[in-house]
Amino acid sequence: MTSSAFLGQEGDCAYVHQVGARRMTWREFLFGAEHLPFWFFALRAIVLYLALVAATRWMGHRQVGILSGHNYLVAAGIVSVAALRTVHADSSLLSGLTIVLVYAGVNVLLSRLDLRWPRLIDRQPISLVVSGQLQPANLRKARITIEEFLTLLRLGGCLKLSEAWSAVLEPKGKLSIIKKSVASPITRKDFGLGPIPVGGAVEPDGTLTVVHQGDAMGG
Amino acid sequence: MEPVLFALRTLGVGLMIYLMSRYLPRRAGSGLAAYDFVFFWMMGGLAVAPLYFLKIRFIDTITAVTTIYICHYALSGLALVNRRWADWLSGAAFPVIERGTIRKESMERALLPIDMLLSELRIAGAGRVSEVETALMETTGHVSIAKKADHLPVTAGDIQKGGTDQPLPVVVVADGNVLRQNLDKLGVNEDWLKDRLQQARAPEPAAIYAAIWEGSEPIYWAPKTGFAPPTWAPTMH
Repeated sequence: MTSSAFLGQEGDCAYVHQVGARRMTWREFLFGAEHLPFWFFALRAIVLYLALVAATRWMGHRQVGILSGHNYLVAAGIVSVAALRTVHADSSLLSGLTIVLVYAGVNVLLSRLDLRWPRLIDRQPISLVVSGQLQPANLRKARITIEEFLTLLRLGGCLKLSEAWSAVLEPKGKLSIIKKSVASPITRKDFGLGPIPVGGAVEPDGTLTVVHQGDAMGG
Repeated sequence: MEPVLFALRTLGVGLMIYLMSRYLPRRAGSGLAAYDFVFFWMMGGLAVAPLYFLKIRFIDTITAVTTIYICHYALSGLALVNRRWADWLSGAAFPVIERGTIRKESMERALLPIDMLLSELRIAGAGRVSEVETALMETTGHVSIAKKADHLPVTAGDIQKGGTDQPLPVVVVADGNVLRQNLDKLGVNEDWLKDRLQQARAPEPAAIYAAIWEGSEPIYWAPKTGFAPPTWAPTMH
């Protein structure tokens, strides 16, 4: 690696460039420059990574689970922007941080609107099997072939279409299946087994109340 | 000339992806927390960054990737030793259904509309809210459920029927090759394998695609071509 040294001025910040001893200006750190030392990219990576972690915590657990369409698109977009700005020398770190903040804010806003008006923000589930009957019109609406539907059924543990009582294609693309009772495992209730004690509470008068799974709140 | 340069860069990106995936933290793939999510998606974006513009240097991408690997390792290490840090970093699971009742404040905290909760319950295997005792919004963003006792399947323990817990299966022959290191792990040798294969009416290992030890059951095997006959030979311990 050849050494080079020059003295230059940018705004009111002077800098010297030599091998292994480059001094970076705040302007270059925040707004980028055409030529930057390799360790600068390490610093950028740390800043953008931690910013994204904080933004994802702000967006909530639903962002990590990608529960809806806008969660998925934000995930694909926000980290792509951050990744590119990490390694693109003359792109602005400050702009990247601004994008992360605003993009996360938009996602939080969409999630809050989803809470209030879910039909406005997200897609609705489509029932593909209702009361044991396949719904061909809904398969066409969901743009799914019968072979693809059978694949989803098998992946969901339902090997026969005749075993399915209900199958719903959820907004996030998963197929949830409810089997007919004759094809479902026997439950404790079917077998006449009692409730399961899960704990107890000592009342003010000293008596112990055993809490069973399934007890209504408040007793 | 530019397409050729990008073709060469793509090969370089392919090598980088191989190395990245070879050392990918397992927890990142599970998406256990926000920083896993960020790590996983950011790696995808960084890996292809050199393919956007020729002026993006490989050394800068490798520097960024390495730095984020170190960050992720450090964050997960800190979370193991400091619970308060772990709570801030990952958040915590919290109930959205508690003792059979949907909790409004938890739903708002999770930014979860009611329809989405029903969707998540169906995906988790509960067709009706009334079946659910507890539903937790996990840090992965998914809802896990505990059904009410009445809706739980009957188990062998419920009807006092004993069962035998089987060990995890171990592959002992793969595509005609005897896996000696796996035999060593089981504490057996090739004579044992030959004996078990004979009991299962299997051919020589060279003709076997997969032979899998499954505990007290007869050894499972599949030939390289055709079908295996039913394994009816008695089990010998």
